[in-house]
Amino acid sequence: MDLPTQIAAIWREALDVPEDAPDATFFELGGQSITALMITAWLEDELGVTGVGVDDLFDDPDLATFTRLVVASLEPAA
Amino acid sequence: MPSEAPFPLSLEQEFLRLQHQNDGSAGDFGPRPISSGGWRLTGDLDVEDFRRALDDVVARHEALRTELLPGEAAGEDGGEGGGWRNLVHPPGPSPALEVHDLTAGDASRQERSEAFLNDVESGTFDMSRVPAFWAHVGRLADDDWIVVLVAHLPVVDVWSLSLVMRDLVELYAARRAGRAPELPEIRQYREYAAHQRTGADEAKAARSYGYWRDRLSGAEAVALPTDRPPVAGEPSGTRCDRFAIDAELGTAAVEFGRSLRCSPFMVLFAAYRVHLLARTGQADAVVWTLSPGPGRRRRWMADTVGYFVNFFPLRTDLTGCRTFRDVVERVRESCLSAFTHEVPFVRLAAEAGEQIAALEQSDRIAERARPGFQMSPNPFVLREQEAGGVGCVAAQRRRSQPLGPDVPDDAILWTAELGAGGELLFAVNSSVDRFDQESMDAMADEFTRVLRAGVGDPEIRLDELTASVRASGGGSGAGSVHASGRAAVAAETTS
Repeated sequence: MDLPTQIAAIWREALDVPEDAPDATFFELGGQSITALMITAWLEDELGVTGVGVDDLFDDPDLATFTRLVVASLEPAA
Repeated sequence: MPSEAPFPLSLEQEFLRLQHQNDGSAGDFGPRPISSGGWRLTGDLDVEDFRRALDDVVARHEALRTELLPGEAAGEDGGEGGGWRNLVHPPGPSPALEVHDLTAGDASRQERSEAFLNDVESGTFDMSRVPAFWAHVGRLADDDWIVVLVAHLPVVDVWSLSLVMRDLVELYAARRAGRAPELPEIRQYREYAAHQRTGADEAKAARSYGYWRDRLSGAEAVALPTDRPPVAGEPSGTRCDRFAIDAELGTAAVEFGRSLRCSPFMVLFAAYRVHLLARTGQADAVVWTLSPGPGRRRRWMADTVGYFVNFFPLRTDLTGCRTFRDVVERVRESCLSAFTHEVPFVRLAAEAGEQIAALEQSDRIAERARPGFQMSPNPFVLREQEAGGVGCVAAQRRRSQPLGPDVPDDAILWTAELGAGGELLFAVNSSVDRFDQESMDAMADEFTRVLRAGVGDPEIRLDELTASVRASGGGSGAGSVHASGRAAVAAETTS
């Protein structure tokens, strides 16, 4: 599985949304603090992502925006 | 067998034990340490297969057959958590199952199911029973049932019960169809407790201790005046007042939150904070909250039954806030940083000991109560499940009860829940010997008016908002219950 696919899997499982659900933002999908904390903890435990926090999810991204953010956080600083 | 050796309390269990060690109440974990929940099942329920599914679910989750042993019985005393240990019993003895006929009566099914849920929850449970797990099933009609699950709180929290019910429905469906159940593999609670003891999370937690020491430096807690001091020998107990906020205001509140990138909790907590400000004048102060707990965030514990609940202080300084919008933004900052730095309370109390001790001193004042505010611990409350010919959805309640789940005598605990169709449901637990019913009604009314005014006009001035709450005679119970649009259902005393 490539990185965006792994991020998408975590997003969907934590927010409990089916794969074919229309694109929507974190809050539109019913995201709350615990959901944001789960997503960031799973990303850290499984993908070693430490550069994304609860506040990034509270900026209310959709999956595509959030994925870009996570991927960018893993790129070495220029 | 080594896997059956008793294991020490987790940090969360230890907190629960410490909280009740010195509060003078009966019971090692509080006088009525139960977790409970209700679910409506629709369809043709086969009680015998349901009974077998109950055995299956107890076999699946060790926590459902875990007994807590005091220090002496576990062969040790003193030490962390007073030497208490978790003892996991092998599967075997069945949980208690009672089936009740609720088909009679003029009340609606909804009313009958709520009354049943309240009655079961107010009952007496012998926590030394193995397994300490009870199922009460009420038949409302041939195809309509209410299931109430009760467990021992220090081993099974309320979130866990929703996992138990989810598994129970699948295990029942598998029994009906004579197939293997399709359930995720799980790790047991003992693994969480063992993981904690390795100190693996400590390096990360250590980065948060500095935050808490700074954040809580010079902090005081909100100390809410009570109606009267407790009288020795008078009956003590926790009542639970419930009320609902209509879908129009509920939806508007959640939407307003979103527009400010806030969760529903943040908007509701902001309204609660203003209500407390109006009553106490404390602009910069701590309100306690309960969370699902740091352990619950981990994916490998997502399906585990156990006690994960955590407790921590939310300090919000409203100094300089001009409008309700300002309050919400201040609350947002306060919540996001606290959630990010959340650590088990026992660790917080050890690492920010001075600050926590000062907080506890500031809120343990005679004739004052410590307020707490949380979101419902059942995260799946609106989720529907269908399997084995039955549909299952959590039973939400709006009926008050004279004897509800305990909170410590000097606390008031508010729990907010998102209701079906956009309503907001609230449960407020308070001590019957310190607060009058009229005061509890007045508090609910004040909160509702703050929320309505603040969401209706976020630019409303904060001083105007608090003055309007005070003008209504906060605490006097001035009978404006219906003016706010709050729907309350009085407690039914059944005898």
